[in-house]
Amino acid sequence: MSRLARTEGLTEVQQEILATISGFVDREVLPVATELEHADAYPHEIVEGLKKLGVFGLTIPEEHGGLGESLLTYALVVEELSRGWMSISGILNTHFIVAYMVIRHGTDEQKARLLPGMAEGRIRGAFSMSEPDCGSDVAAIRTRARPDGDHYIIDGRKMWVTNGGSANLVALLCRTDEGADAPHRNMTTFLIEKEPGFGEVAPGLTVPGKIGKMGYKGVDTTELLLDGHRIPADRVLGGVPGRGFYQMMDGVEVGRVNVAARACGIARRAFELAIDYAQRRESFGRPIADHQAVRFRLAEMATKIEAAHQMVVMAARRKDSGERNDLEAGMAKYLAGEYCKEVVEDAFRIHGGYGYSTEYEIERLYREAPMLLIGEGTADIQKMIIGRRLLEEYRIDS
Amino acid sequence: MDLTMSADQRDLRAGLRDYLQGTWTPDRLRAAAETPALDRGDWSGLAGLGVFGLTVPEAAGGMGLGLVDAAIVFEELGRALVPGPLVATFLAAGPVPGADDGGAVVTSLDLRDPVLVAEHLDSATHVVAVGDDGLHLWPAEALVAEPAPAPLDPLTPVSRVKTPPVAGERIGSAADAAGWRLRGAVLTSALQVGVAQGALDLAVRYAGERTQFGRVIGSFQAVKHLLADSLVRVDLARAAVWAAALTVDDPEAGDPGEAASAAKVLADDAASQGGRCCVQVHGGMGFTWEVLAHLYLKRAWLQETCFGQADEHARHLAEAL
Ligand SMILES: Cc1cc2nc3c(=O)[nH]c(=O)nc-3n(C[C@H](O)[C@H](O)[C@H](O)COP(=O)(O)OP(=O)(O)OC[C@H]3O[C@@H](n4cnc5c(N)ncnc54)[C@H](O)[C@@H]3O)c2cc1C
Repeated sequence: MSRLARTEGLTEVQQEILATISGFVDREVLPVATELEHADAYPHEIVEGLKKLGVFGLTIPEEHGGLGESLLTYALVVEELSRGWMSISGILNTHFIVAYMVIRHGTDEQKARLLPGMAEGRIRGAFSMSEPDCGSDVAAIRTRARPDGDHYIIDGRKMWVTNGGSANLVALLCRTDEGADAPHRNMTTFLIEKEPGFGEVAPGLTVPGKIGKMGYKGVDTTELLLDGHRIPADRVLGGVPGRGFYQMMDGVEVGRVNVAARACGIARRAFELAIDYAQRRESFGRPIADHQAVRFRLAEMATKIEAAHQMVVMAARRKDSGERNDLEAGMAKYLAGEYCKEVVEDAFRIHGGYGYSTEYEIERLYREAPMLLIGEGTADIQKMIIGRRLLEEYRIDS
Repeated sequence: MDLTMSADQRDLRAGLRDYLQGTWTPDRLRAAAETPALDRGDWSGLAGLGVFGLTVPEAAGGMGLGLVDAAIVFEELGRALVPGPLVATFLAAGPVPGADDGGAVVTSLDLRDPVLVAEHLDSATHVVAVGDDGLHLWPAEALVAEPAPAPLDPLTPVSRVKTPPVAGERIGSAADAAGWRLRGAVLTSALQVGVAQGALDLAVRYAGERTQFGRVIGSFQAVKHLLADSLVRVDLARAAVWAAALTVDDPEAGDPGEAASAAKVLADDAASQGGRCCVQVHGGMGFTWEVLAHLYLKRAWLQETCFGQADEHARHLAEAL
């Protein structure tokens, strides 16, 4: 157990799970992560290992074959896994969001049909709101589903689908015409089942290929083209159309905690590499850790890690208690993302010149950190959410 | 100190900008990211424009201009993300034959650094090692080096030089070495200002095109402020770089070392924050390989570590106070 980023008040089961994951990361993830990332290769073996450990079912209720653990456990597991490799947390993130949405909003039939397979990792979830023309402004999506007997027909183009190739279940947000005045109420989430892979993976549903990214490789991020895709009406999440926007936003809150937790994990890893290096590398006859500039930098890094970790724990506990947590989730994501970027940059500066780092790994962390300020709502969008909530809480009577 | 551009300087900048726009197109940059070896034709092209011989006296075949002119040129090179050991080759023009006319590609390393790293070693013909005692020259193939498997900036291959080279040809005194570091810091700062400006230009263009919530994103205050902060950082840094260049050419005007350090601190900040702003303004697209935002950010990160990191320069400034 490291001195930093401890969590008070964990149950024995939680501690056991974390110790198992931590060991798995050291043995199975860290030694291969950087190489796989550079090759943009999907980590099949790691995923198989996670299936065996039951990680895909971590938060799925026991009655559906999962471990029934809390969002806090999930957040801590994500932090641990991201310490090894952020892309692993990306593979899990969309799966967890979809599982959460099915648990919270699904019909009994949908739960019974999907959750046991999801718990085993046989069914793997992706979630898809964003489109080429809209990311921040989700209410402006154009992908449209129109009723056709007891089916719907979906047409449109989705963008940025993490696990779009490897998943076989996609929770997809569409515009449907419910006759409501607000665009938010004319949206529906569909649970699309498809084959994993690329090309036409279901009639009228094509996954063209992977989007080339600056980091966060290994996990596939794809487009999704829907051209007359027919889907039975019972695949509407929760059975009732018109609720999709709210279901998605609920899911994204879980995703935000994930992204905040991954920021903590990456920052911790960067710190571990930096403090190790700072004691080995000498300049002017002493380890560079003895120079105040470097030592203060380490102190700042550690303080940021601790603060971000505690913030994530707080946000997860708030959601677990059933309270609304959009304020805290937004704050945790914003703070952890910013701090992570700063900690990783500091680690890089400690590591060396000309972008040549003796730690091949730090270069990867460096490329991954900017993603945390974009995915699951940009830093600006977090500030919009935080600000809006604050003005609700502190409204003056006028 | 006059920080306005003369008509000649404006012409110099316009000519170079035209040339670079035609040569280093976005597609060309993307291709270079896959195969980063230097194209000697390009190198000669730059030499033909006088880039490397700019401050070499006219009698010796150069253009006889000042370091401010070089700063203007290097800002353009940075803005266009031109790859290659530009600063080292420029500094070597004179002592290393061929450096000014494109016949030599000179890379350098600083013996003070705890890890010895040189860029573009495979494409280089010569290496200059900067030591406290003077400047030393080697043919590039004389060094034992290990290339980085994944250089941070895909356009800048870097290698770790394993054996600190012992004896090379001594081509400069301790004072020359100090001058090399000083000018190198100023020119790297100029490159950084260019990177910051290029990233800002790209971000501004996108902010004017991309719409969300029914408006162009550039109309949101948050985005405007990101861009405005970037602009302020670039302008400040540019003024500091010019002041440093003028001071190096005319030490009566101030302390060249302090001016160079101030320039590097401000320019590094402008470049890395500017790159980050560019990624951020692009949202998800900023994280793709296709949009060039990542190249600006990575070049900024790389150049932060060349010719002294910002905190070394800050320490130098603090000591001088
Ligand atoms: C690697 C990766 C994986 C992803 N995975 C998924 C996924 O699995 N599923 C999915 O649905 N999406 C996914 N996304 C999409 C992600 O959620 C969006 O990229 C993100 O919401 C930003 O949207 P955008 O890219 O369209 O940027 P835009 O919305 O175009 O934003 C551009 C800039 O404008 C700013 N901006 C926009 N509106 C405002 C405003 N009102 N006020 C102030 N500033 C504003 C933003 O902060 C940003 O700086 C992924 C993205 C990436 C990069």
